[in-house]
Amino acid sequence: MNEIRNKIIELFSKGEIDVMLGYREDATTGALKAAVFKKDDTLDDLVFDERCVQNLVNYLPTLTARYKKIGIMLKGCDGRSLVTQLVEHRINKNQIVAFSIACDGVKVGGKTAEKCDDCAVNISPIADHAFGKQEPKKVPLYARVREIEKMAPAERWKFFSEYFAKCERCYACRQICPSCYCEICIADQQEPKWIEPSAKLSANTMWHLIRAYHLAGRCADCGECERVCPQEIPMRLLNNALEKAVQEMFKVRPGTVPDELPPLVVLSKDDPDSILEGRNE
Amino acid sequence: MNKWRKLKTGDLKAYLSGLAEKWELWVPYFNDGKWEFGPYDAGRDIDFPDSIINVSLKQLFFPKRRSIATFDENSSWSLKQVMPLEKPRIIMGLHPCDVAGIKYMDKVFLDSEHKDVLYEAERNRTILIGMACGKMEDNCHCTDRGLSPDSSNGMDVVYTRTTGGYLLQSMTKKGEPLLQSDRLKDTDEKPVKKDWRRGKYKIASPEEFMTMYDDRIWHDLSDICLTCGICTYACPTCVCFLVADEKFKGKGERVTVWDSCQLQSYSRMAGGHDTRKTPASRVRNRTLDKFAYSHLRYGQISCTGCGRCVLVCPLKRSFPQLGATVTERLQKKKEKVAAGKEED
Amino acid sequence: MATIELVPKPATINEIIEESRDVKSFVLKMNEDRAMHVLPGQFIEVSVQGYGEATFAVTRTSKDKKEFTISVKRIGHLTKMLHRCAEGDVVGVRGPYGNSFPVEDWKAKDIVIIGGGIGLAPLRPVIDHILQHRKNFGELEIIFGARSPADILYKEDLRGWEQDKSIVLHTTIDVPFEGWNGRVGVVPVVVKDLAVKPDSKIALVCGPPIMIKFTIAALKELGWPDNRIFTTLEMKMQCGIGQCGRCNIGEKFICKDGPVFSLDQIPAHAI
Repeated sequence: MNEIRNKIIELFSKGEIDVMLGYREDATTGALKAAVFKKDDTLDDLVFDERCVQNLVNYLPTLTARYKKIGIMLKGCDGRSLVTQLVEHRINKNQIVAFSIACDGVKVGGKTAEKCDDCAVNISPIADHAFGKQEPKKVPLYARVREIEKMAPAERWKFFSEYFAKCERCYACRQICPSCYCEICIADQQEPKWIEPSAKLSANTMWHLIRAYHLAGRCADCGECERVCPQEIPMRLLNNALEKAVQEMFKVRPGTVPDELPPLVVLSKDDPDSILEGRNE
Repeated sequence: MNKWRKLKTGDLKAYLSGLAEKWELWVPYFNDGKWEFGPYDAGRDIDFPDSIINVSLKQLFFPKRRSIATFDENSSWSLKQVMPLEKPRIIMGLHPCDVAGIKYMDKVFLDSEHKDVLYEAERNRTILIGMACGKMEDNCHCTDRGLSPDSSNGMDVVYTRTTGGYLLQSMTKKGEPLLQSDRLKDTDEKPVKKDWRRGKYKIASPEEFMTMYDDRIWHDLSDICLTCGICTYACPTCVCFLVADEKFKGKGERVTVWDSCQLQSYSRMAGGHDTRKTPASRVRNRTLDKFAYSHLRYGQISCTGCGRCVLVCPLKRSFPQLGATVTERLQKKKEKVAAGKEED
Repeated sequence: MATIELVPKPATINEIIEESRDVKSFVLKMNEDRAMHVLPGQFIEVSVQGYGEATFAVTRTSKDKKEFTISVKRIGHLTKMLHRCAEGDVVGVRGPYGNSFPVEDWKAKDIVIIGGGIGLAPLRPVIDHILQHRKNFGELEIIFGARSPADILYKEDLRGWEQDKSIVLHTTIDVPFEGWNGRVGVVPVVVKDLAVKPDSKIALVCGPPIMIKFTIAALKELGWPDNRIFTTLEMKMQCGIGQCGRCNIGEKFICKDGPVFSLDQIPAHAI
């Protein structure tokens, strides 16, 4: 940890960063929060441990508008997220100093987060300064998705509709997602009114499915959407299902290779025909 | 002063079943890790949490999605307003901060030239049996908002836990019939007065908050807030709503739906003009509304100190802390001015 | 049974007037056949069944108070549906809501009315009132700016005001246009050029937000005090009755404490 602090102090003194985006331990409550550290701030309460769940990449667009150079602490999944943001030109790499910190999994509410169970991205794919060592786990991907795929359609609908019915349309999933940045979200458009605003099953289903499709090939699976949902809707399943489909068709996992473009944005004559075929259930 | 009556723990279920025969009874249940109000179910065990009920009962007076009129799509004009509900109802187990929330909603919806008759009907048909808190949770700070965990203000009946059962007292005429049950016995026992902690999230006066509109602190604070809106849905006094027409297969409904001042679309107008485009302006609006505007409008600040916003915030931010931080900055500014220094 | 205020009552479109390329005026009358006592500056909420509701200033009322007119610029979902309506169609109406221009306080005063585009709509009832009680008021100066000749509203009224010797009328368009021989220049610049002196006059300003902002700045530069500049604000009003929360400026609701405000009644950031 001190290694990280010293590096930050060094970069501040050289003027290589204006602010550091990291995690601060709250002195009174002991809770861990995302925090912006400025040059003269103490780094004593800057921490990085298994409680550092939040994906800090979401703050970069607002911060890059206010500061020239921003240091950011990245777990593996956060690094994937940063790659997707760079590739979509939302932020400029020359404004970012990436601190890659090896991660062995994070805890939510005292238990290891579900997303860490099948994580194969323990280290950020992008780094200016790297800390710690971590061998990427060899895990079978999309285990949860395969479980759902075994269900018959009626069973699958029952599973998901029970969750969608609980959705409050608070849009926390959208706000916390770095890849959701439409100036006017489709859910807010009036002309035409694609999705009804009230929190009923039909509209909620539309919301979750449309959001999943808009993220297909772009979602870095940071898992924040599922973590922040007050109703605990397992929406990562939707994103993972589409990520699995993209992986099968295009052999690409978004955000795992720097500079690799999202497959649904690139038209190549090698694109599989299967993308045009309907799937018959 | 009405006497206290005692209900033994063993008689609780029978007492509640008695109430449920005549009233639609709502009590707290622990579902999926959260306390929330639900319709009384004789088959389930009953217990009352000694402090906050996670899901506020705002929904029971002002539903998330509330139909106000129905219409037939195929006719040019067939809008017919819905009937207000009338079935007598009891909500039992709410706490003083919940009541404070209801009293604020009364100011918004009833103290008005155009009072909301659907809300009024929900209030009229409901008897509130409130429970004095036994303890304050980590994020409880009602004492910093002029309330108390054992206040009975606004309740029709108040009850408190005691050795062997509960002590109940009727506070209004509406509450009296509820204490007629022969399961309750007169008693000289009285609840023990407690000392409650205070000072966790102290805030400045509404007038002082108003002076902070142009301060640069809002930009610093909003760096972290993502304006997702969860705090507004959890808050017992956040009742901003939108009105929409929803139709399906020929049938239509005009509904009021919970909206949130934190969401991007809240203030955006058809032509694209938006008075609160930046997250900073939306965070500022909510903070000033909770601690200042509400007081100037209704004589009561709308923060009840329940701390639900802290529990639900996905970024572990603390909205009350935000109020306290702004207050600290206010203090610093005053000190600087007093010392003849330049404000920054 | 108690009426739910948020549920509108039916009104029939008696007449549609094509004012400009994207503005139509709708003359409405409640199906209940009752008088609508609308004061100058008040607004109503108008619904098209199934398509929602929006706020419109009432721009004119008939002598028997039964007919009332709104001018609608086609800009979004609801306004698009309204524009598709025909005479005889039924729409929903709630109101009137809001406060009004304090015309009673302006006896014998000189009035300057400055409207930009559709912003002239909420100001027109003040002009109507002044013309109906002409002796009660002093001079009347009207400055009206439109983006282009195709955007000029109330052409018939303008002709009448032009010919009325008790009115000084200036019409302007934003940028030069072939065939237009009149004044050219955006309203704030025209106000500066005309150097409209404050004396003890009252100024009313309404238009797109940016036009209000710069026009008021121009007036203040000319020495106009805050308490004699009036504006009417539109800030996504929805319920119209001070409950849905969104139209607030500070602790004030535009729908309840406004929409008419003098500048000393609202904070500087509101403009």
